[in-house]
Amino acid sequence: MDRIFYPKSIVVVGVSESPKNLGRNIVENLLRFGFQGELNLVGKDGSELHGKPIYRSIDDVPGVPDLAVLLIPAKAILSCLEDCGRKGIQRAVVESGGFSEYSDDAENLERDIRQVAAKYGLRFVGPNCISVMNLDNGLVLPFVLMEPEITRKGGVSLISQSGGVLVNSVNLFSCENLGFSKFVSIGNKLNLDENDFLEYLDGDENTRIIGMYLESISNGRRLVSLAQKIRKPVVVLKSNRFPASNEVAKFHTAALAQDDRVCNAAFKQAGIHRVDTLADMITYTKVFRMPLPQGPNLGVIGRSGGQNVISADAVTSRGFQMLPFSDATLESARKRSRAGVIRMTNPLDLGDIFDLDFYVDVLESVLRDSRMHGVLLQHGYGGPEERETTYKMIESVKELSFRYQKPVILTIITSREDWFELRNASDFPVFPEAGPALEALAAALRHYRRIEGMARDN
Amino acid sequence: MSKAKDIIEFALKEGRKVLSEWEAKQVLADYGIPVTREFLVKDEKELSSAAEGIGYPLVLKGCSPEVAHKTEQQLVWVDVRNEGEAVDAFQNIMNKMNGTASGVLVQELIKGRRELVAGLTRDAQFGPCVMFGLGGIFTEILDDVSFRLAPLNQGDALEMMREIRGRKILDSVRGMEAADREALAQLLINLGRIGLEEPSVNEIDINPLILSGAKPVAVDALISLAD
Repeated sequence: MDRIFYPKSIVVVGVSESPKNLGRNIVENLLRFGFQGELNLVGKDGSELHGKPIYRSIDDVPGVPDLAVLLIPAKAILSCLEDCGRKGIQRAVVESGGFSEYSDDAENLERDIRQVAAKYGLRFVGPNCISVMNLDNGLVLPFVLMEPEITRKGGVSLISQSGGVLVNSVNLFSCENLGFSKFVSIGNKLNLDENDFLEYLDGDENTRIIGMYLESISNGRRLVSLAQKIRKPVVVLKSNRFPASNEVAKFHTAALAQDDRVCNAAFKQAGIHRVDTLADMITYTKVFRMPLPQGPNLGVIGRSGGQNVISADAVTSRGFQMLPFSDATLESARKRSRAGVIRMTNPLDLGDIFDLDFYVDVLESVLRDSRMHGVLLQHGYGGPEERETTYKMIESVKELSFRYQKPVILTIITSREDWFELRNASDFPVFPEAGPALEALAAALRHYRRIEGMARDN
Repeated sequence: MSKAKDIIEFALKEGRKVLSEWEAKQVLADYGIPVTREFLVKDEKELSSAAEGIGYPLVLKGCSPEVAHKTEQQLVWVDVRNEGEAVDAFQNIMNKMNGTASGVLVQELIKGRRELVAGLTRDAQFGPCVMFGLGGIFTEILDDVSFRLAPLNQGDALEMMREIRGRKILDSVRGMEAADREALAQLLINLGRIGLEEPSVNEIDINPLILSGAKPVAVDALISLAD
């Protein structure tokens, strides 16, 4: 797998000078993201690109590249893989479409491709995939142009059965200022499937959270037994749940229908966190970047009384509870209250206090309380006056959350202008509202308990 | 070879895809699953000694691998209270089955108002899966069931019971005892074992699984075999 994610040399097959050529985009991406390995190009018309020669055949490429990236018509794939195998290339990415997702006749072709791969011990990603992105070394292989400015390195890696969902995720991650390490789209998974990548990412030191988008499951038993041993959070969006959407999926990535209830049960037994939407995938990812909650007791602090009531419902309905605050916490709140109209309850309404430093003081006092396992802190502002103080508060919240090793779900609603700026100000997650975040926090608590159980069993 | 394996092998040799209720129950019993006390009888003499062994009231059922929906075909006589009724029922069933019956199943009448379902299915991806939920007519109406992959541990089995919407049916309600959850858990674990140890068993349906007091008893059971 290291030869797929960290190749020292690659060859891109299907490149030409033509501005319409998609293979060019792969080369462009590699240059944009600063891939330092050796880059070779192959295209049937020859010529050169970015000062590099385009060889007419794989045989002409000097040396034996670690990885071949193929973007040529489906009918040419078989002989191209044969060429790769003969040359001694052992890893490939087949980005081309036109296989079983497109036509039932492709089954023979797929079988032949499997046989050639087996003959040479060649392992490949795809076909029909947007392929691999690794921000650690700039190995960015999609045939659509990607923007380095919108990507940030981080601890999340994603395995996707759809290239479109993968590209969408790059943008969603960017909107939330979430960093990632490796994204891989697995397409029709003829040779390497989600389990192979899951196993690899479990051992990858740059990956702390594993996300998956699946339309079909290649080997359910292996998925379950792998996931059961993984301590990193595994969050899976498994679509293709109903017969109606199954038709689309078959066309899309040759997915087969499975009983969704069995899938739910299997995920539960495997400790996999299942989500239904990409928004939830992002929310879970954000929550899992924080320390895990070690129990169900949450302190709720907020600027709006109304939001506190909504938060209280969200807390209770997800199985968390609000213990009364300690005397120390209440004393610190009382001292700073201006009109003295704060009701000393959990949730704590800080509506008459505008000094955000004070929010941080109360937060710290709650986090210091050993009975409390986390905090829900709700804030809202409109104008630029509070922009800087809010950014400063986010940094303080981050520092406290990690110092006390307790999650702080920070919800902030702000102006249209500040919405994304706010998220760029820090890599600490900010949520629009409590409900979905608490759903994810409940998963994080289950995760904590599972990991604890594993530690006990060993 | 175990009794369960003998029964399955025998049926496969006959080219059958299903076991009769009598056979299915013996397979289940071999795996420690509690089933109704019952005998398969072929004539009135055997009927009388079976009735004596079990004691009235009884249930009499036509028994044949070809007959899956016995109730719909009026091959089930419930609450048979004496020898006269038993002979009537026996003759009636034998006539209706018209020689296709391997006999009449004479079984104890399990009294209990709570009907559950338990079963085994094979998922193309995840392999043998155990099912648990509300039984009798509610299985189809409410569709209130949960699944776990085999093998199950006790935690999995207990979680299945907590997962159904009608979970309170297992509590102490309306003067009925709380269900013996450990016995139910063991039953589900054992169903999973059949899935792993008997590759020829395709599906199992125990419906109804009746709570007799606190204890679950398999009252009717279907087992289908793989090709």
